[in-house]
Amino acid sequence: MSTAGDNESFGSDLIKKEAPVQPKVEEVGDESSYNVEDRDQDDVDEEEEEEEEQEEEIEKETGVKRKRVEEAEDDENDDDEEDEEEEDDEDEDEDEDAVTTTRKRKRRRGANQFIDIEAEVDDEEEDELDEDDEEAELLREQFIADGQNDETNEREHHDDRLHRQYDRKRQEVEDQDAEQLAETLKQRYRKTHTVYRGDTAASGTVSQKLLMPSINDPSIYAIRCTPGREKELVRKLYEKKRTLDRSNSPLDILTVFQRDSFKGYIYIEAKRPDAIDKALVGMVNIYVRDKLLVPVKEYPDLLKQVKSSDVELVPGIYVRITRGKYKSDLAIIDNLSENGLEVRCKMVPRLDYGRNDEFDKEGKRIKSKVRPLPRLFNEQEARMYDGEALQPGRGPRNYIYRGEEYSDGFLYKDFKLQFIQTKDVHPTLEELDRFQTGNNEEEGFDLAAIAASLKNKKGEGKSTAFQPGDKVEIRRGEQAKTVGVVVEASLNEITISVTDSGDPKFVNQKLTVPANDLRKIFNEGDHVRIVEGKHFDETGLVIKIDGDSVILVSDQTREDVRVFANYLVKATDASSNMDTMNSKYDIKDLVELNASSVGVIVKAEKNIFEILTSDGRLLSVKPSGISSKLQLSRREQVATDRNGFTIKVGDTVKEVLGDKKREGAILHIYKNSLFIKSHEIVENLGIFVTNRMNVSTISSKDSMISKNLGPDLTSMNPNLKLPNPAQAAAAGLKTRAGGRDKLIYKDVAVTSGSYKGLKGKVVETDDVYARIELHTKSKKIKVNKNNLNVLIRGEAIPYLRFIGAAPGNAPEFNRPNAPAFSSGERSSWSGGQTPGVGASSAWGGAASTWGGNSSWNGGKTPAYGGNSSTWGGGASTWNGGKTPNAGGNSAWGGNGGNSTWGSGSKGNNSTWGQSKGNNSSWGGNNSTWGSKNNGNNSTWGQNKGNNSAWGKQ
Amino acid sequence: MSSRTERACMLCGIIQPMKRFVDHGCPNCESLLHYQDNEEGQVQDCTSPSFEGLVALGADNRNSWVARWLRIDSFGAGLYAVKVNGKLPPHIISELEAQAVIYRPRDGSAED
Repeated sequence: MSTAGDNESFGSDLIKKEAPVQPKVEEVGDESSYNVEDRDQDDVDEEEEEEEEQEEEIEKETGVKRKRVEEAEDDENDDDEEDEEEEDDEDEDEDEDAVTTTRKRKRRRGANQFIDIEAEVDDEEEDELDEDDEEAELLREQFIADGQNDETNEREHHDDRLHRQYDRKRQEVEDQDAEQLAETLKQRYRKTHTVYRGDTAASGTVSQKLLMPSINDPSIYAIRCTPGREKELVRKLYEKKRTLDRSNSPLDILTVFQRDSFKGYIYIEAKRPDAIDKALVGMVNIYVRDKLLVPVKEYPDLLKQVKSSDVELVPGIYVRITRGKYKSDLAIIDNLSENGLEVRCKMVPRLDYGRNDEFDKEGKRIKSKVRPLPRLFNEQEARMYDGEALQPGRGPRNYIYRGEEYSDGFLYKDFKLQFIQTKDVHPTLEELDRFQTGNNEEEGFDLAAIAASLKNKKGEGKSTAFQPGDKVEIRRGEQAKTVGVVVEASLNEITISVTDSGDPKFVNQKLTVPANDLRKIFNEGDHVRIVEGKHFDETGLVIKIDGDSVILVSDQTREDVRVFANYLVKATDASSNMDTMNSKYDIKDLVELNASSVGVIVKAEKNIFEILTSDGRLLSVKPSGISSKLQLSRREQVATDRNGFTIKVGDTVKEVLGDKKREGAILHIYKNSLFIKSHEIVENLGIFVTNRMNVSTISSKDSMISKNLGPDLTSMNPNLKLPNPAQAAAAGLKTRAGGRDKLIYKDVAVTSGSYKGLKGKVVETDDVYARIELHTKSKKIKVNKNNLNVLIRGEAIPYLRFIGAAPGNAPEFNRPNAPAFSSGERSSWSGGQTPGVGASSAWGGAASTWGGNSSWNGGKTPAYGGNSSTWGGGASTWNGGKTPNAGGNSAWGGNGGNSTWGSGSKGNNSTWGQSKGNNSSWGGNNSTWGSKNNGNNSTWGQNKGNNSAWGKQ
Repeated sequence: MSSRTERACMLCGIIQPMKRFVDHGCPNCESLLHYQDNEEGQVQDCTSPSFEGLVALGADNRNSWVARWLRIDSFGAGLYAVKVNGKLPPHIISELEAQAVIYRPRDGSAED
């Protein structure tokens, strides 16, 4: 697609349009007659030609008189012919298919058509000569034919006259139009110098406001297309329109346009929507169905020259270079050329001073392809490696090196505007730092400049938070300086209610304004929070308002901060915690500052943390000042309180020293320091630090201490056991380490209370109560365990006896799982279900008088009760090796060694500890237990099992 | 920003290849700016390679609101830019003023 071609045709268009103007005037009335005349004339011509040869000889004999007549006629004819010629010329220009020209003429014209119109003057003269001859012949013929063919001659003669009359008339008109013709020709020649038709002072200038669209204007339709093809489509449609303009069915669209900011759309201006459909027939990359009418009031926005997202190029802003060696490098605009097409940029040069260049055989320098790292210009290096290319510049620190200017180490270079990227610059801190090193006296970044380069980023993602109630001022546009209050805020459009405006009629009206055109208004003394930028989330007091920016004293740094008004919101709270999403450290983290100090982050701000150290100091530390985050597992964070109780994270402790007696949950434990979070104190997030020896435990986070931290020794220590067996049993129960309550799923009978006598199954127990599902009715009741009889094989055993806490009359030794085997002394052996019993309990220790110094199952049968050995069942022998776990190396009644227990064939006569004369018999009807020497004659389970005497004597 | 070698006339906004400006001048502003043959780098001075927004204007420019709004309604058919970066050099502007032609920058700085 070439615009060149277009304009060419455009040019010829002009000609065509202008040329026919003049002849058309006359043709209006006479066209038909003229055509007829012309045709007649042609016929005559042809006849003439045919007759020519035949009558050549006659011709020669023509007399002088005739010739004279001919000449007279010729004069007249000359004029006529000329007229006709011109007529034809123009006809041809106007309409190639005109049928009025003869073949003969066509032939002649055929050659001439390619000659410029201007040259046709000569051509015509030639034609005239020819025609003169023809005319002469015609006359001769007429003379000759006289009398021969009266009728036809008469008619022809008559026609001829008409012809001439008409031509004469035409001539008159032609003469009048000569001036016009001259004018036309003049226009034709100076076609490249058409008068400028744009706005002139004479025509007056129209304010753009008066050009605002109305509903009478043509509609603009937005049509979806493949993104990136917009320009191509506009050009294609332009071609199409230009082409079809010349045809019978021109496109009825007025303009087609695209904007870079509205990707994926092209816009067509047309009076009727069907014209658009017609225009888009056969086009690819365009979605005709997605066609929407643009509201009239949005028209101007479509064609705004300055988009709100545009960054105005002014010296000082950050840009990026898009081409060449410095591609994607950051630059600061130093100056702009006069016409704004070239930009002088200040940037950090990338120079290697030719060090990496190589030389080929002929000594030619091959430039290194490697892009040097950005570094400030170094005069010494330049002099050393590439001295001849270095020239001093104008100033003391100015140099010209390889034709480029360096000042203060920075490169100053002109770039074309199109090689500069102003949007999405996003300078990184690193890049900014490079610029910063140059001028140390000017500390701090140019906030405004950064803001300008960041502007677009904000504009696209989220607009600065305008919230209803914010006082705002319109920055630019027609309504500039209007003050209002935000009533509604959508993403980029803010509706404000005008409170003050230059035009009183706007007051209290609602206006919708793009967010970018608004500026927040604050008053001195307002307490504000910064919501964007470097000082994000700081709060402060406004002390001065300076145009778009506001100066405030930060609550955090106590320093003056200059920020854009739009980056502020009114703050209600004095300080807040930053969103630590992207921070390594979080609030309440235990961090290590150095080898000796550890603390907890109690406040996190932008780039500063407040840390409560283990020695109670409060430090403000930059993130870089924190060496690491301590991640201790819960197991590691264990200590003991002043009473020796274990404390760990989550436990609630209370200070016992100090006047405040603070109390709280432990957050972190580090060596002897406890970081405790209290709900009562406000400062430092309620966190305080104290020594572990200062606190006592109030409650433990979870009561299953032993579960987490190994066996609970205290509860197992026999010395701590209470003498009362019942209590001991209860205590034993309480400390059952994870074991299931024996009572569960046992059939029980209630012995007292309103449910007395009812039977049921235990489904749930706690220390005191059991929940029983009654057999009789579907109900669960809660009963004190002591009011239960456990039903085992039909026998009701009181609960306490069941758990071995109370001696019963008839101990049931043949119970499979729960032998109530109590020494009656301090130790209680509560069945075979305590896995740890063998491990730590000293059965038959100092306190027991049973079996002397024998230790039973000294820790080697941990799962004693888990087996199905029956004790005293009559068939098993203790020490007999038949109970795999219980046996082995147990020496029951160790001295004797030969005790048989329940080993009797009938199971009735077991003797135990016999050797010393202790004749114990157990489990049988006649068992005696105890030593006779000592006079202890115990008989246990004698006869009916009811009369056991143990250690009686 | 166009990557072609096309340039936009800063006065009328028409987009043409550089060569066409040199060979044929601007169809609208030739009488004022005399681009032809590019004497004294006139084309470089008065046209801009940096423009945005492509508008195809047909022959019936008078009826078009778009053309009126962009103030190209009196110009011939062609491709025009909505925004042309850059301004005419001051001496050209004063020349135009002498001829009573109002120059309204097309780079968005015009205020009215």
